[in-house]
Amino acid sequence: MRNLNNVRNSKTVTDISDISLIAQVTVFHNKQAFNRLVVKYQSPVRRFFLNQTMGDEQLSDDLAQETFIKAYVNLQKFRGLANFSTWLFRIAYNVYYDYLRNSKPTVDIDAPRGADDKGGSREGEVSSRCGRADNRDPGLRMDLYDALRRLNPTERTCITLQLLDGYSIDKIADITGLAQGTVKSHLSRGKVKLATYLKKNGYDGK
Amino acid sequence: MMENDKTQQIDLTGTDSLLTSADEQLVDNFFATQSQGVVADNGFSERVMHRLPTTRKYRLNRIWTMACSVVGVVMLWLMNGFSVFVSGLQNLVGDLIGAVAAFVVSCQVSPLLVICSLVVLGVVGLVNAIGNEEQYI
Repeated sequence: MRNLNNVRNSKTVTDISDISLIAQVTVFHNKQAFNRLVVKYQSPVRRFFLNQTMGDEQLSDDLAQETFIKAYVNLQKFRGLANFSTWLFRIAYNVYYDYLRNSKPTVDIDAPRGADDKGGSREGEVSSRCGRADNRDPGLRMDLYDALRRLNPTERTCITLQLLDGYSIDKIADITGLAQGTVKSHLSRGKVKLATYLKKNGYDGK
Repeated sequence: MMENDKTQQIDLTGTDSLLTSADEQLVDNFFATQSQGVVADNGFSERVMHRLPTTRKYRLNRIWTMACSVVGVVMLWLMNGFSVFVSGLQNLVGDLIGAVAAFVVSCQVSPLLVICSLVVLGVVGLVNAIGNEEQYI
């Protein structure tokens, strides 16, 4: 109980500190305050993009940069109804979907990329660009990205936000703008696909 | 047609089965081994700060501040404000000399201490303001 209270208190302190920094940016045009927000949130935002792009570090950094620039330009629109990280992730999600729409105008963005995907050369290109920022074991990392490749982008977003970033279903719904029932359904379908893939590759969950 | 497409997608992906608790456990365990550490900054924040656009509000704010400063200087010149300013400075220096002459070593707050504190605060504030402006120009 005390731990829960400590977590809540530290979360409230974080929120207040974020709001104070946002006020300094919007009222006094203090760029150093925005720099502190960038330093604080660069890791979760870049990790989010690394998971969505399955390890394409260069693309992830470009998208993360665009996210922070959009956040800076629209910071006065932040009303504090959700906490800052949720608002930032919502921008990140929209940036990623804008990227998908613009880069593949003729392909359904909900279509999964299977093992027999013809985009092999692109995956090779991605593999060559990934890995510098992510310091986990390369074998494990490729397993994760191979597994995530079985999912369509919406399932991948929901799964990574829940299982890697630890967001609850209502927060995922806030970030993606989907109904909570839809998020649950994407999570369920994604987990079925992942379980099938893992079983085929010899994972027994122990 | 839509119904056919949906059926086809389910057949292709093979996800028409329900999620069992064993499957969920399998996936949870797999992701538990994939804990992702902090992504190192490696100059990312700096690159973002250098790419920040100058917003219209920021530009207007700067123009407004500069316009007010120019008007202030012109008014000071037109209304012979500089001589008043010089005379004020002379008074201040005189007061300071008087305060130094009357300086008594004690724990009480003296006028000199107050003036010194104000000068230090002013200088620190000015240095911070200039540093903040220069860092991302």
